Amino acid sequence: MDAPILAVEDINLSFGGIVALSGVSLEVKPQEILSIIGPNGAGKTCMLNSISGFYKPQSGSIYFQSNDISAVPCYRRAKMGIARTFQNLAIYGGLSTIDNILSGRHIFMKSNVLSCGIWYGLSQREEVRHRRKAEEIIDFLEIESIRNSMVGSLPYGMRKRVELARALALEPQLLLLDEPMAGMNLEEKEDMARFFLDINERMAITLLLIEHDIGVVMDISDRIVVLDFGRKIAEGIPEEVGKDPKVIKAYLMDE
Amino acid sequence: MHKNQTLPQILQDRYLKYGDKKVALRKKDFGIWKEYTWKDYYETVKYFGLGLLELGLQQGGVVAIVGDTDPEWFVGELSSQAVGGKSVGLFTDGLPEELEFIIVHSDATIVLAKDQEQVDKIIEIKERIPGLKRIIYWEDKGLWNYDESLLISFSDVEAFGREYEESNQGLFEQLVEKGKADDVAILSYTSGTTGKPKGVMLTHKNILHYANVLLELNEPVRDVDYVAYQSPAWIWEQWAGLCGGLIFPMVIHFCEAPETVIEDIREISPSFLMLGPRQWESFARTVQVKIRDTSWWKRMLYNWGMGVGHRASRLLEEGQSANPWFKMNHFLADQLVLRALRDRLGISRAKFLLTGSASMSPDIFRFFHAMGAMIRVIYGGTEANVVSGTGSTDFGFETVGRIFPGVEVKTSDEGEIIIRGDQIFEGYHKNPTATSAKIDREGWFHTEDAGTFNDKGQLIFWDRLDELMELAGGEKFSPQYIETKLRFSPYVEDAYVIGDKEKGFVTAIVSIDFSNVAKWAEDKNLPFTTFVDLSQKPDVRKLIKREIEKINESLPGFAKIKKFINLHKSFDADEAELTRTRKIKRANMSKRYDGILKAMYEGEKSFQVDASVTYRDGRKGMVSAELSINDVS
Repeated sequence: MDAPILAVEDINLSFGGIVALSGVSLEVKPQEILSIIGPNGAGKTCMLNSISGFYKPQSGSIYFQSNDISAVPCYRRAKMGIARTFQNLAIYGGLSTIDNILSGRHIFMKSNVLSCGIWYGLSQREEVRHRRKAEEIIDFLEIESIRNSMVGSLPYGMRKRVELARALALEPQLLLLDEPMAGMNLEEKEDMARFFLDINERMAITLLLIEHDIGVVMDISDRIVVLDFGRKIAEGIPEEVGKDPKVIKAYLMDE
Repeated sequence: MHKNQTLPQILQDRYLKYGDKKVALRKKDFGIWKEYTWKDYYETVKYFGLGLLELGLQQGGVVAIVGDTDPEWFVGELSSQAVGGKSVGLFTDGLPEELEFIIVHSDATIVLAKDQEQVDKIIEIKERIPGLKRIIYWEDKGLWNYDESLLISFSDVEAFGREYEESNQGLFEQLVEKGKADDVAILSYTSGTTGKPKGVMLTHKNILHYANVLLELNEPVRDVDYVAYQSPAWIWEQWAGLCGGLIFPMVIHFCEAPETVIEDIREISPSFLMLGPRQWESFARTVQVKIRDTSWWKRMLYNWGMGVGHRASRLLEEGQSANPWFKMNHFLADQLVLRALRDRLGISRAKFLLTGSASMSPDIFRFFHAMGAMIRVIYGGTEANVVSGTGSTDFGFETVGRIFPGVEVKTSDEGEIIIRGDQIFEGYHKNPTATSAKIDREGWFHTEDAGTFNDKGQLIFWDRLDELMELAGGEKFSPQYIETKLRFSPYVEDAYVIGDKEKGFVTAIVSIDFSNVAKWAEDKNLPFTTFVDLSQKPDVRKLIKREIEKINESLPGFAKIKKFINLHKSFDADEAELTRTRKIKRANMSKRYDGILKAMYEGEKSFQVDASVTYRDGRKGMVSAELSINDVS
């Protein structure tokens, strides 16, 4: 079996007296779709933040492609191949869609102030290359019609798609998605689910997903991890997890 | 000139003449307009055509095509014709059973479908298509992991064609040469406002008729930029884009995606643009709504500019000359306002704007004419082809122009328009009874349209013969005419007007334009939840009432709308209320809304609907709402 692309080992995270994660371990296999579910306050977003490097767990280790990245800062993790989207949109409202996506290409750009000033040659070639990649993503996510629109004026579902586009611009190996479908209507959710499957299949990107919509999670996940009060209470394929009495007690009954 | 050639023969001529020195097609892809020369165009047609032979397309075999308007669509059609077959176009929003009917009835054995959405539909019905050989797709997105032996990509078929060519040198050229202008080129299924669609057999000569006429009349269509917006499944796009593109020739521009059309038109600013009446209406509507939304001084400038434009248009129409003072005013208005408007809509370079198919309100013609854009209208249909059209100086906004050379048109004693000429179709596919019912012994094709000629010899089209209604007083009126007037209001998306002998007066079922009315309500701080809720708000009903009163002013007494109801939803082709080209299916409508009509004529104050609705994802549900019946003074 393949080595896991991401391994979280026994991490503990607390804020003062509040324990957010306690002794959680999980593994993400290459090219799978793994969902983390759990009631509000279960520690799902903390888990994602720990993986992306935004939070530093007090103990435990995180391995990405067998390298210990526990001490690696966020921006370096992005370069290594971890991208994410946020629960509350974090895009540049005053920029166009294409510029938002190009901002995700920043980590790949080599031109400096001087060469950009001259533009011809290196910078020009670089711009064409990155624009090409951005256009491929636009095509993939079917957002041609909003290419030049100011993102701040777009409907919510579209903004979510722009954020996803920017994450894809990083050409990640692992994509962390924090409630990507919150606040969407049924049709938008179906579109989004379709895109996740396509991203996973076609771009061979591993997805780690936090989502409240159990229907979607059950449909598209390869495996599910359930958190409750900072602890992992279950893990397995959707059918098993759906039947687990602990899970039903902790989470499904809530709904 | 090209009267005795087939489409592939003309394409071959173009290729021999221009090679790769001249652009034939442009397609926006990845944000860039990519160019295809006549050589590219011809070679793709050639190899794809040979590929079709390799897949087993027989002489006279049929290729069904369904997808957005892309170069592959045009190529698919020309290739099948080139190798001795024909094509049939399907609308992309057709339901699987609708596609099944046409594919089976036309005996198509190969289906060219654009993408996953269309391929899924064909796979769903594949068991019921006898002799189906292959399903070809040209966009692979989402189809990567399909395990379906019938599926093959467009480029693979082309590759087959290249291999096939190696062992069959010169075969393609022979086949193209063998084609005759009188061969059936396409089957075009009529949208069928009544009953099942019928397959109209059209020869090369038939579909090339209009483009030939335009050349003969020396219209400004040579070497122009054209945006292909409509589906080639619609006969009009065949006449203008596909045939015109080959004959004139023109550079055909294919839009990036259906949602980007408006922006793409603006980018290209085509010199030849053909839109259906509905699209011109929506252009006009967009302008009106945006102006309502802008700052007061821009609104003032707009009102002044369009006011001057309207006056200039009226002067031209009445054949009067303007005084120098007015001319200067008009020049200023053009520079400051009208030019900017034309530019926003992407018609600033337009030389030839066209519409047809259904009636368009004279208000729309005047609106664009005031803006400095003359929209030409042509009259015709799938079976009879184009028979008349307005010229550049015909100002009969109520007419459909003069009869084209080579066509005979007259009106029968019942007031029906009947047509004779070379351009008339060959007959209905596998339906000789229907054919002989439409073409009489002397060769006259009966259109079932009512119309007349005015004293200038221009044809006036009223309505479908059976839709022309007679009121109690014996006055004849055309519901469609009133409907197009209603649709000129930015708040009315669609309307169904009725009123005949038994009923005594005219009523309307209105479907509000949700986005515009919602915007209006927001500006007025009027809270609402859904379409149903919004449509029944007293203020919204008053708004529609005012719009109807405005229209009533221009209608003769007997045709004035007396009562109306705001429907709880939009009219929908999926529920068989409209045809795929958005014409109202009257028979279905009157059955469906029988209860509402009864309530209006029996003097009820409101009507309770419990209607089944089909959601976009295919689920069905029930909607229950109380619809108010409104009187109009």
